Amino acid sequence: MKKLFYILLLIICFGQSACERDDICAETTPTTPLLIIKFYDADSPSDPKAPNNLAIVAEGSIPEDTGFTVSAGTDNIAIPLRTIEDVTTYSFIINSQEEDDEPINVDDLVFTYIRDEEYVSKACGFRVIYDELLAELVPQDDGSWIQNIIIENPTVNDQVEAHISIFH
Amino acid sequence: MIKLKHTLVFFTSLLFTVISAGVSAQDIGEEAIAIDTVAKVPTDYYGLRVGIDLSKPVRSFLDDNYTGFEVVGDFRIKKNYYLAAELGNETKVTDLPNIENTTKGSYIKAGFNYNAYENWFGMNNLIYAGVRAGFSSFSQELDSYTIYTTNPLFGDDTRLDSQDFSGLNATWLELKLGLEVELFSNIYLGVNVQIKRSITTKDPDGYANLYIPGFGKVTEDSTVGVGYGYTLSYLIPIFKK
Repeated sequence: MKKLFYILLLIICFGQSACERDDICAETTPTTPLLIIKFYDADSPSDPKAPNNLAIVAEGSIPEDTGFTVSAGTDNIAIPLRTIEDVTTYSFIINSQEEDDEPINVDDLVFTYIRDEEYVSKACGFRVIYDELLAELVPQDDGSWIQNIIIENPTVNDQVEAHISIFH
Repeated sequence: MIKLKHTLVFFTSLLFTVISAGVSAQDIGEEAIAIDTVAKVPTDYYGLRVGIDLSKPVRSFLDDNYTGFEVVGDFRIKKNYYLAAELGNETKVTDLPNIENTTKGSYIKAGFNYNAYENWFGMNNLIYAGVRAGFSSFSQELDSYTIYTTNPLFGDDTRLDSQDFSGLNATWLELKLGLEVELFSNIYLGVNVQIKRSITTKDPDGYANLYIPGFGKVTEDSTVGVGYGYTLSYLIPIFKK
């Protein structure tokens, strides 16, 4: 008889502690994908080429007009697209450091897309995936350092391969 | 919330300790009494026992995210077998960092209990194992949710437009262990634990069931649920054997 009590006790204890394990969003869970851009040499389109001291500034970021710099020698980047609008504008600034020999050059890129919401899990909530991705180059007064843009994959629902190739 | 759970576990343990001490004491007295009872007087009560699960109103009072009520009943059909059922209603708010959800619905569980306890003369206590088939019909309201992103450059994107998902249901099988102790004449106090295995669920399109009334919290990588109850019930005696 006493055994039964112990079994009951054990089950209750187990029941109380077996919780909250799936309430934390794991880093490996695929959530809203980032846009992956790979840079190539315009003179030799099959060779990756890292842009010199690239800085990227987002329009509508929080705080306003912040972004990030890309470390030297990196030929591909992953940047977020806005999840509340069908358009995201970035300024791509090459030779952004003062000590650079080449002149600084700013090109704006306007990404447009349609958005779809998808349930991920109760820990991660929802995510947005993008489709029909387009990129428009808006050169500034200083001309454009980007020569060509190719959409490799208009559906952005993972971060496995580059979605866009930029030639410069 | 965790504190509350621990408190419940503590009281469960306490209850078990008290009851098991009582049972040991009874075991000693059993033989002595048995000698005195030669004549076969009918003392096995057959009848309908009805009651409520005390843990649910208590939890409703203590936990802002929960409201629930459950009516329990059983009917003795053989010496050791009881037909048993529970009927309940629950509202549960699941408040997570990226999702806030309200589940509302009713459930019924039906099955039987087997009493494994040999009562000594004149007693009607139970230590039982039971099986139930459970059915729940419920709706979910997604109150708010976050678009999760690994790069917070554009800030937090939390959507507050609430969405209703109705017409959901679930079935499950349940194993139950418990005891019922007759406190006073025909008044019983019970405690039980339940292990459940989900059989079918109707999930909302593009979303998931986070909680199922009667079944409990849904865990994403398993079909198992757990529960417990503290019942207070009254036996309406119909006949004696």
